[in-house]
Amino acid sequence: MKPGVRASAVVVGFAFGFLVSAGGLGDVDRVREALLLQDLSLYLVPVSALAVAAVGVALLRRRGRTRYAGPLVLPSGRPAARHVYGASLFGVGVAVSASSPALSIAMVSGGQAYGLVVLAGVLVGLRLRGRVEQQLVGPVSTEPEALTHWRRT
Amino acid sequence: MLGVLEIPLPWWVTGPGLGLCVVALYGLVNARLGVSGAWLAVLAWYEGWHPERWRFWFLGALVAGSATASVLGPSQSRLGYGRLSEQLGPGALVPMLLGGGIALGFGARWAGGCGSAHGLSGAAAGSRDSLVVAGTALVVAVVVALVLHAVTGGVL
Repeated sequence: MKPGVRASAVVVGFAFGFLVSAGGLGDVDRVREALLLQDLSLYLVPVSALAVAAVGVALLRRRGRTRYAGPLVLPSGRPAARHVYGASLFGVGVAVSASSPALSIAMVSGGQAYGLVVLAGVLVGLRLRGRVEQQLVGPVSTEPEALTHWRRT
Repeated sequence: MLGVLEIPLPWWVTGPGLGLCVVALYGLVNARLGVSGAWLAVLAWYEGWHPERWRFWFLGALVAGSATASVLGPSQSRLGYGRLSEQLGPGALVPMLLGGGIALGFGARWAGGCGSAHGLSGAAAGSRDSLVVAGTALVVAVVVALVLHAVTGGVL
């Protein structure tokens, strides 16, 4: 692994984790109020994030290359049934736990100790899906993104 | 804890900052920013495959960044789970949160990514599968939360 790749991962990961916590996204009550449509202000965070990221990615697309990994290759997957099934189950998980794999980290670091239970569940869920994949077709997906190239549900 | 950082930061700092993180990871290492993918790398040894090593650094730094913000922020209770832990005892809350977590992990791997990988990174690149995942997850989450709230008389 190139030192630049490692440094990039550290800097971006640290900034992302800091902003998720400092932005109050680990506040389970705020997340629940957003899900219940009682306080919509929390939605300004992902909406503005998406807007900035879309503009930035458009600029990167024009540049066409990355700093440490050669030409820029952006994801361009086609929707399949598994996307709807998986997203639906993920949505149920968000509703029940008022959390996500990223938010649960902020919840734990913010003092909501039950977030550890959510984190444990996330790991169990990831492994259970891998087990189902092994039973269906053999090798497991090596990362969520890799499933983009798979066609099964 | 130290009280030198006001939490929450305004949305116009947090949101664009998170967006820039997505752009930075694309522009530097040509990768989608995905937290479930980082957690999945932790399971790699058990499943017998080799993850990209940068994911471990990303996950470790993410935890460190989150912890740093909490340390710099105001003092908070070290126990509990918001108002939910006032309304539900551990006997009900733990199975509920464990089930919710399992749904998050299973669903994320099934869909090929979670809220950050699809909802931010993939959607920002205009990937159609990510747009479908992000939209579906958001709608289902809101509908299920509203139904649970109604069915439980406002407890959940």
